[in-house]
Amino acid sequence: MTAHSRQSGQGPTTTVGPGQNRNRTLPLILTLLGTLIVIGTYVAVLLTQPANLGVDLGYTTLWVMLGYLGGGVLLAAGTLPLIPRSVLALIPVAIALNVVIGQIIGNYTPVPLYLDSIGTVLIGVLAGPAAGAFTGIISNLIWGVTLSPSVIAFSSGAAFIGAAAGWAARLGVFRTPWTAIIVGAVAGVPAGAIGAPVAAYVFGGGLGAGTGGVVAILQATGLEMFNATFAQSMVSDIVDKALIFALAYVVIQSLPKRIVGRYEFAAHSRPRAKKSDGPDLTKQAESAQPAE
Amino acid sequence: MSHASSDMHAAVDAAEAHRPKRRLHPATELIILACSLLLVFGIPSPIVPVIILTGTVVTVTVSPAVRLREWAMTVGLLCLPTLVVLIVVQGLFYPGTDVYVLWQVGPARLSVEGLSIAVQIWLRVSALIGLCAMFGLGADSARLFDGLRRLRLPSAVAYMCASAIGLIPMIGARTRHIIEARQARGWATDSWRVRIRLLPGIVTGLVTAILLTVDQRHDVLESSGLNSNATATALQDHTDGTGQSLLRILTPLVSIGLIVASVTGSLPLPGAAQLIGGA
Repeated sequence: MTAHSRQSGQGPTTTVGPGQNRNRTLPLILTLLGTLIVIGTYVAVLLTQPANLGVDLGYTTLWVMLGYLGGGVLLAAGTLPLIPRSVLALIPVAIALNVVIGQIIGNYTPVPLYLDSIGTVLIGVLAGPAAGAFTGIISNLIWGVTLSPSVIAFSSGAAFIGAAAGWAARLGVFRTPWTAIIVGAVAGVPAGAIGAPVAAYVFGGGLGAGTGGVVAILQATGLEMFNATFAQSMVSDIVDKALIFALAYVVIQSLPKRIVGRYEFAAHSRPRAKKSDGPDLTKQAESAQPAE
Repeated sequence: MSHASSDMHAAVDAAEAHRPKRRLHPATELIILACSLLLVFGIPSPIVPVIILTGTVVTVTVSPAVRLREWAMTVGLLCLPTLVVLIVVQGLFYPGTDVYVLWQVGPARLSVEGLSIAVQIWLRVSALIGLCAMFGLGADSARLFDGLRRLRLPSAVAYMCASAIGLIPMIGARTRHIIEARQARGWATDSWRVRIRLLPGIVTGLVTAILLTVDQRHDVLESSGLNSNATATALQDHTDGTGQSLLRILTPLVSIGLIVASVTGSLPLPGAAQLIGGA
């Protein structure tokens, strides 16, 4: 990552940090590899595992953890060089927001929602899909090693939500509340699908009061454990992500223009500029931002 | 002059006396944490989380960095609700067919198999919560930063992780103040419905305030050389040596060896079925 001067022989003359990396081949390969490992793990678990846990828990948890965590680490390594430098200071804030809102409001209520990805979605909207995915992974790892180890296994799902927020923002979804809610709900479908095997095979259906209660009710109606967890994840994630995307819309629209203006990618989420107001901000952002 | 000098020496001695003497390097702690996570999920025997939990309790008891009472409160607060949820989900509503039912009322049936699964998952989660709480309560931003840098992670990643650790209590306190302020204005903030309704206002205020605080911080970071990959001096003094370097290499190797042995069936640890059968 460091450029060496061939003439002076005095070592590095310029430094290259995240977001300055012009060679995108390796990051993109790592990102693709991470995605393939997560998808491969998901498909393998679905095809090979029984719907209920046996008394001996077996090695399913190991394969799920290794696949999802390994994929998550590769995704983080691949997305880090694509992140604009100006966002680095923002990511810790987003992580802390995820943890605090998720812990104070999500965990201690009987609602089967998580509310633990507002910071991740905000980073996706302000800085793009790579930054969103990276924030999701690091956020779950930090939260995991400090307060709630169970969230570590959900890192890949968190990465997907961050990336989805970035893709949605690029399409201008966060310009109106209804598109934000609808696209959030749609993003909740794969997010729920990714999280279901972890909740089922690693944590036996979920550890939260609200989510666990829903799984218990569904099992009581005759559904097998994986199917009950899958149904609960789908419902919870769809509602949760719709709520989070709506919340992100409110926050983005409420932020001072001076702050939002610092993040070029956020031009995709600002109201469209009138022709008389000068050049289109979105076009400016598209020409200025690094391709992700 | 000599009086001032002796005062300074006394202050240094006092600081030395208060410094935790026998504490592992943060990088070693991180390696042990990661390997324990791997072992808990990699070896399907209830013995493993019990060993890790016992080791954690012993370490916390003798550790100068973590108070046993604070650790026990944290772990209890996080683990007991988990146990209740698992007993309800798996213990009372285990959906398997071939089960030994202990008690039944309506659709709820307490089965040996369901209880066994609930206790195993709870043990795993509790072992991890215990370990992570010990790490979390004994760590600060500088320790985490030094640990991650020692493990050769990029300084940007180390900064983000360390900074997040420092920001979590600050944002947590700010959120609690906002909720208390709303409560003082007559909102029934104990109700989750009210909390959900207040969420947009709370989050918007929080994000705006924090973004204003960190605005242009990246410029400061850049000028401080955050992007430089040059070897950085550790922020704190940590005990480190050949022994710990070996520990950092051997712990992952032993963990992987144990898991491979377990997967290939050559690790003679009893599973839950054997323990239940033996009892």
